[in-house]
Formats: sequence, structure tokens, C-alpha cells
Amino acid sequence: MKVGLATEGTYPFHGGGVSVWCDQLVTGLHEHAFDVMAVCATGSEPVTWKLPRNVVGLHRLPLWLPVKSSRRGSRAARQEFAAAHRRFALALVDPDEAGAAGSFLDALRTMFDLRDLDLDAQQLSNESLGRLIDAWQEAARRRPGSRMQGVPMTFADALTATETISHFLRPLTYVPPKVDLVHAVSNGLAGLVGIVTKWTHGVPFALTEHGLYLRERYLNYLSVDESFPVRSLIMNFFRLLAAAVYGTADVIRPGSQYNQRWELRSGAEPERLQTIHNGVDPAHFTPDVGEPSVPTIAWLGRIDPLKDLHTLIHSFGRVVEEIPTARLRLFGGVPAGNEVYYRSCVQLVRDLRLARSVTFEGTVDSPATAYEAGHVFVLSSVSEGFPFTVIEAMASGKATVATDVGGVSEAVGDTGVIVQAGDTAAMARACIELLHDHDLRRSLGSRARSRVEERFSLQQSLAAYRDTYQGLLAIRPGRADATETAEHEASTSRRRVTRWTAQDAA
Amino acid sequence: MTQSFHGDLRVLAGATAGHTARSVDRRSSDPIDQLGRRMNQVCTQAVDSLQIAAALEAAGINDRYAQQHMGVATVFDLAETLFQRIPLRASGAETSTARRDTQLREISHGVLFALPALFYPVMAAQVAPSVAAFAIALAVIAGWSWSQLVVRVSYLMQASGSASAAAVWLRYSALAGIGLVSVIAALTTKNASRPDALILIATAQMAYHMALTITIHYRREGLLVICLLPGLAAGLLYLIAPGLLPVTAVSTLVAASLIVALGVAASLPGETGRSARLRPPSFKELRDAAPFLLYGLLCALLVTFDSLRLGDWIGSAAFGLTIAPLVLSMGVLEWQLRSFRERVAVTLAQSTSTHEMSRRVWALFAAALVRYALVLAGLSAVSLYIIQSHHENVPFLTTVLLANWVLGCTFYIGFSLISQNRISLVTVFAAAALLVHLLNLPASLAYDSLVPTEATSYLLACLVFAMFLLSVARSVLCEVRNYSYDLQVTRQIGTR
Repeated sequence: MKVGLATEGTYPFHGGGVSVWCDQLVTGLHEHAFDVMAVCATGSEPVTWKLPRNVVGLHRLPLWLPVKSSRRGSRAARQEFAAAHRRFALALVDPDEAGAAGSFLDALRTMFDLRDLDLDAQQLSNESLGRLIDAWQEAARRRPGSRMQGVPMTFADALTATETISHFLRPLTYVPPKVDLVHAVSNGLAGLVGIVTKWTHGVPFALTEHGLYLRERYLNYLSVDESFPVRSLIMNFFRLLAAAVYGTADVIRPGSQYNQRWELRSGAEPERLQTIHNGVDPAHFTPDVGEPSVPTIAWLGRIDPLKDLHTLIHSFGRVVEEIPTARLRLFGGVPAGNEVYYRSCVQLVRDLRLARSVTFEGTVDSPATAYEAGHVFVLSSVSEGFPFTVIEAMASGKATVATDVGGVSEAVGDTGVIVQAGDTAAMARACIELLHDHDLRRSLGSRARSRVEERFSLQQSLAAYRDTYQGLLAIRPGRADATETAEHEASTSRRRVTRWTAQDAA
Repeated sequence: MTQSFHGDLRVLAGATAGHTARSVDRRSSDPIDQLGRRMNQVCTQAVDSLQIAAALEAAGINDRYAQQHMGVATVFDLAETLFQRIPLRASGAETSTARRDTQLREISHGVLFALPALFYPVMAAQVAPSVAAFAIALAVIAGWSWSQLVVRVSYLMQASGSASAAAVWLRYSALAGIGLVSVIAALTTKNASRPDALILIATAQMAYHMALTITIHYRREGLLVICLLPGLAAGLLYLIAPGLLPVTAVSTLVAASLIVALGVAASLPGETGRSARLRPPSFKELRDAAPFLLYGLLCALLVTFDSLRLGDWIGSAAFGLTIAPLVLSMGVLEWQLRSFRERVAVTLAQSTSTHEMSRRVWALFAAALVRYALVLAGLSAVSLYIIQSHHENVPFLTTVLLANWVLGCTFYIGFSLISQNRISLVTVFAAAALLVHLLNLPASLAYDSLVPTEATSYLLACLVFAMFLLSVARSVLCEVRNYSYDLQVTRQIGTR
């Protein structure tokens, strides 16, 4: 079986939890061939993962390269686009209106069918921008008292938002490779690649969500300096796209129960949802390597505001008041763009006079090194999906103190201490208790290891995906005639196939 | 495991849990109101309640917290309540126009384009006027077209993220252009009386053009002027008092200044270019830049064709007087074009109706064109006064002056369209105008006129060029999509 694995901004160009999971998946399911379809910025990103032999193709989908096309299309095609764009615009300005999600998906499908047109030019024409403004004004009149009523949309707003959205719609114009099923590893643009692959080849579509794509976009756009109409249109686009992906995917596999709350709220059908937790190979983590000579708290991750190291450092300040010999060892690198945050952490350590007790260890070759360095593992994040670090620490037989975010409490269960995110005092109390109480700590660590072996092993996770793939092939949703038609269209179409630059990874 | 979060969590500062209330607060003690105050920045900017829910969760607030502390079932319910209670505080990008120093720099470009005129008298003194005219015409044609190509490719390289490659390209292609002109001059001097002088004049003019191209690109025009000061002073002195300094001394000073200026210009990319190797432009970049080369070539041919046809015309003072207003006004043209586009960006940030937007954009364009035309008319009036005072062939010179006024206005329209990505269209119209001039239609009409047909043909060509461009200007200039860059440039953060 050949699986199209759709990614965005992760595997195989960047590190992080999703990329680790992708690597586990393609390596573990070695009986299947994988065609990786990677949505990326420019297409020149270097591959940073060693691709196994069963990754038979890597197809880059650059979003931000300029596209030059002079095809105006027939008058009928342009009229069809205009009608679809009207539905698209009405849904975009008011996604809460009844039927908006359906109109949006319908408009996407029409644009996909009209992909021989220069979609960028069509979307950015004065007529389309004017249509968007009219739709905004209509919606504002329809909803008196709404936020959009007080803020008119201008041509500058319409142009700025449409330019951004036109890049996000680039996957509609690409021809995906022929695969037996498509598996998107996140919602959003990877999900759109999943939709396009399903439409093109009539194959089943599986969606996995580790983090929550929509939620992360909402957070991204909190600090974007754009006008309300621009932010509103772009976020509405992501919201409608998320619903379109949930509606089109044949199965949805969230990485935690916690994710299901957002998925159900965004239109996912409950019967298509089934959580598959991340897994680790317990054999890679040794629980009985002993403990450090001084009371030590370990942390592992990327230095990032979402990891809320400030709360951890403040908490540790309280720990030191109680246990002066205690140490905090922070393992992990500083991603580009997070240098300011890193410096703020270093400064906080100095301000709290903890420089002799807190060390920034940098990246480590093996995560086991980080877990073995502490008596207790702490996760202080304000946002998580189902973090590998927690289950790896548990597999290493460590008791954990973790914040109650995302799927963390599902992972930890009763084998560690869960505290409110940002609650410095509670985190400090939990750490002090576990550092003092050797029996409790070791007991929790032992139970944590067992919990991973029972529930979160890599083998279980891979088996669940193996079953998912088999199940999908059995229900194969694409009608035979539709599939053949789609294949015929794909083979005869004059689409910009050169945009997909295939690379034989083997 | 989160995929990628690049947002700024400062907007969530102070939102979490509220463990650190400091002062007595007499406002509502309702926990949701208190939370709303702590998360005011988020709530007043959120596009919907889901965005508030995302922010609440990122601040560590989950369903359990919502139930225990806020008395609502879920984070989503809490977010919806906050969204309804707290009104939007609209914020976003605000536009502003460029500073005065930018305007002055742009206006100075016209003067910089005209500066080589100070070198011409001493150059012309060393060779026959026809030789000097040919050399200058060759360099003008080559410089105009080559610089278009060089700058376009450089911008394309920069746009693709290769700033260092662009710097190296700019340096070497400028030097290559000078070499190219020298070779062409050498190949065309077989029958010239002073082939060495012809090559030197053409090379010097091209060197100046390339040095100017690079310094304008890096916005270091002042450096060029400083390097050229000795040569400019000597040239001016020679113009005012020809016998005061020997011709060879003036020529040496001019040449030395040019060499220094070129050396300084070539070193401008500095560290950026030093570490990089020369990357030849890709086929795609060359294909994109080719229309610019052709456009420069056609415009240069249109302006210099009569000097090639009439022999020593281009090197004469009379020619200088007819072309000087156009050259000097190029900086004003640049300023007015940028100003027009900025004003359009401001208009787009205010317009909500297609009809109104189109009307205002066209009015802005017309106003900028009129402003430029008036400036050019003023400069032309000065030239006309001098022509009428000092020259005999007034009807011919006046017609050429008028043609150059039309051409200046045409260039403004053309540049406006080129900035809307219509280089190919403008190039086709330029070719048509040149063809009209080549055909010399007034000559075939065989009518009696005080004005030689070369001048009326030139005027007719300029008018045709202008008419063609005007016929498409309105629809092209009102295309909103091409002002995206201008919107970015003029935007500043603030409240609308």
C-alpha cells in the first residue's frame, strides 16, 4: 500500500514532536510505502531527517513562491469562479451563518475544479475584492451589534487578507502523487492537501491531530498587527478550513481525548473520532539507572514561551528555599526566534539568585540523558497536545510534576502530580514533596513505567494506525467511476505539475 | 506536543490564575469580570469567542478551572461570556507617507542624471563634435538599457533571498557594462579620426552611469557626489573660463574623479558582497528582466535617434537645452510616482466602494501627473528663454523642447504602468513610438513648415506614445492588487 503523508512545517524539514511521530510512523510501518507531501515555505528547505527506504517520494509544496500565470480561462469558467467566490466570501465573513461551512467546502471544490484558471489573479481582481467587501457589509447589516458592524472593511483590508488566503489555497492547484490513501498529520493546510488528494484520486483520507491546528492559529493571530477585518477573515478561513477537513476526512485520530473537545466543536462527527495516543518504545528508556547525588529537577523541551519556563524557575526558587542543595537542569535548544525568551529566562535566574542551582544544558543526543539527570521530571507548559517528554520520562521510571494542559493528565494519570498551569506555589509544593519523599517518588516512577508499557507503547500506537489503514481500505469511500474520472482528469490536465518537485528519497 | 507557535504570549501576560493581585480594586468582583480585566488585551482584540477560548487555555485555564472558579461548564462557555461582555477595541495598521529626506533624495536624482553635462565641453574640445556626439549617444543607449537589466536582476536576486548574490551581481555586471561599451566603441571607430578619444568618452559616460546606478540602489548618492567633486569643479571651471586650466589637466581630473567614484560605488555592497561568489542570473531572472532592457533601449533610441541622424546634434549646447528639463525633472517624476502610490495606499485604507475607489485613484494619478507636468513646464520655460536669447533655430528647438515635455509626461505614465507590472505593454508602446519616429511621417506629407520634419516626427512619436499609454492607464492603475507593496510600506501600527 502506498500512503500519502501530508505534513505542514514539520517532517521532514524541522524537528519537534510531530516530526518525531512522523518518523516513528514511517519507520514503524515499514510494510507500507510513503509519499511525503510537505507543505513548506519556499521549497528550498533542507531535509533534516534521515528518510527510511520506504519513503519513496518527497513532494514539496511551497506556499510563498510567486506564481506567474496568464491564463484567464473561458468566460464561462470565470463566471463559475465568480459564483463560487461569492459563496466563499459570504462564508468567510460570517462563518456562524447557517450553511456557511457547506458553502465554503462547496466553493473550495469549485475552485479545485477550476484550477486551470489563474486562481490568484481571480481572487485578487477588483471584482473579487469588491465582492468580499459587499459580503462584509451585508453580514454587518444582518447582524446588528456584531463586532463587524462597527468596523468597515476597506480595499486595503480585502487585499491584505485575500493575498494571504490565496497563498493558503495554493494546495488546490497542485497535483498530488497517486496513492492508495492519504494521511494528513495535522488539520489546516496539510488537511487541505488531504482533501485535494481525496478529490483527485478518490482515495480514503485519514486525519491525525497532535496539537490543535486551529487553536494554534488563533494564538498566532492574537499578536498580529493587522486590522480587525483582516484578522477576522484569516481566522474565519482557518475555522472554515478546519471544519472542511473534519467533514471530508473519513477517520479522525486525535492524539489525545482533550483534542476531541475542539474537534467536536469544529464540526467533526463523533463516530469518526478515535484517539490514538503517542507511543514510545519502553526498551529505549531504562528505569533503574539510579538517581543523582543531589536533589535534582529535570526539564526537557525547546526553550519557548509556551513551555512557560518562567513559572518553572519561580517555582524552583521556592524549592531552593526549602531544599538549598536542589538543582534544576534545563535540557533543550533555543529555536530561532526564541532568543529573546531564552535571555529572559537567563535573566530571571540571575534576578532570583539561582545561577548556581539552575543550568541551561542545551540540546542532548539522547532524551534519556535528560530524564536520568533528575529525581523528578517537570513539565510547566501552558499548552500541549500529548507530549512525548512526559511519556518518555514516565518510561524512564520518573515521577512527574506536570501542568494540567492538553492531554497531559491523560498521560500522567495517577502516576504523578498535576498542577494548574502558572501556579507557581502548587508546582513548588509538588516538587518539594517528591524530592523529600523517596518512597512516594519511586513508587510513582515505577507505576509510571508500567502505565507506559500498558497504554503508551510505540507498538500499540503503530498497531492502531496499521488497523486504521486497513480499515480505511476496506471502506474505500471513492466511487469507482468518480475515481476513474478524477484520474483521467489528473492525467490530462495541464496543471502546474512542476510545482511538485518529486525527489526519490530512496 | 504543539506544532509550531510563533505568536507573542505577551498578550496573555497577567492572565493566568490571578495569584498576584496587588492593589484594592473597587470594580466588579465577579470572577468573570476580573478575568476579563486581566485578559483585556485578548478580549478586546479577539475575532470570535474561540480565539478567547484558545487564549484562556494557553493561559492555563481549562474546563476544571472554569467550573471551580468561574461557575461555567467549559472554557468555551467562559470564552463566549467574555466575548459578549467585552467590546472590540479596533486596532490595526495605519498608513503614513514618506519623510522629507526621501523626497529630497528622489528629487536629487534628476540633477545627478544631468551632472555629466559638465564634462561634455571638455570632452568635445578634444575630438570632432560628431565623434563626441556618437560616443555620448552610444553610452546613453547602452547605459540606459544595461542599467535597467542590471537593477532588475539585482532586485529579483534580492527578492529570492540572495542579497549577497545581488550585491556581487550589481558590482560585476556594472563593470561588464563598461567593458561592453568600450568594446562596442572600439569596434565602431575604424574610420574615426580619434578612436582613442571616442572610446574614452563612451567609457567615461558609461562608467558614470553605472556608478550612479549602484549608488542610487544603495541610497549612497552623496558619496558619488563627494568623489566627483574635483572633476565637477574642473568641468565647471572649464565651462565658465575655458582657458584657465589646460584641457589635459581638466580631462585628467575628470577621469580621476570618475575612477574613484566607480571604485567607491563598486565597493558599496561591502561585507554583503565580499563573502559571496558571482552567481549568473537564472534563465527565469533574465527572462523577467529582458523587457526592462528592451524598454531602456527603445527609450534611449527614441531620445538619441536624431543625434544619430543629424550627426553632432547630441553634443551641442542646443541639444543640451532641449533635453536638460527632461533629465533634471526625472527626480521629480520619481518623487511624484512614489507619492502617488503612497496616496493610493492611504485611499485603499479608506475606500469601501469600487466606484469611489476607482474615482479617487484616477484623480490622484491625474493630480500627480499635472504636478509633474507643471514642474517640467517650468524648467522647459527657462530653457526656452535661453534658446530664444542665444540660438537661431528657434522653431526646431522649441518643437523638440515641446516633444520632450510630452515625453516627460509620457515617462510618468509609463513608469506608473510599469509599477503595476505592465512592462511588456509599455515596451510595445515604446516600440510603436520609435517606429513612428523612424518612419518620419511628416516628411512624407511634404508640407511647408518652418519646423524641420525630424522635430515634428519626434513630437508625433512622443504624442503617439502618450496616447497609447493613456488609453490603458485608467483600467490598469485602478487594479488594487498591484498596490500590495505600497500598503506594506505606508503602514504603521496604530489605531484606525
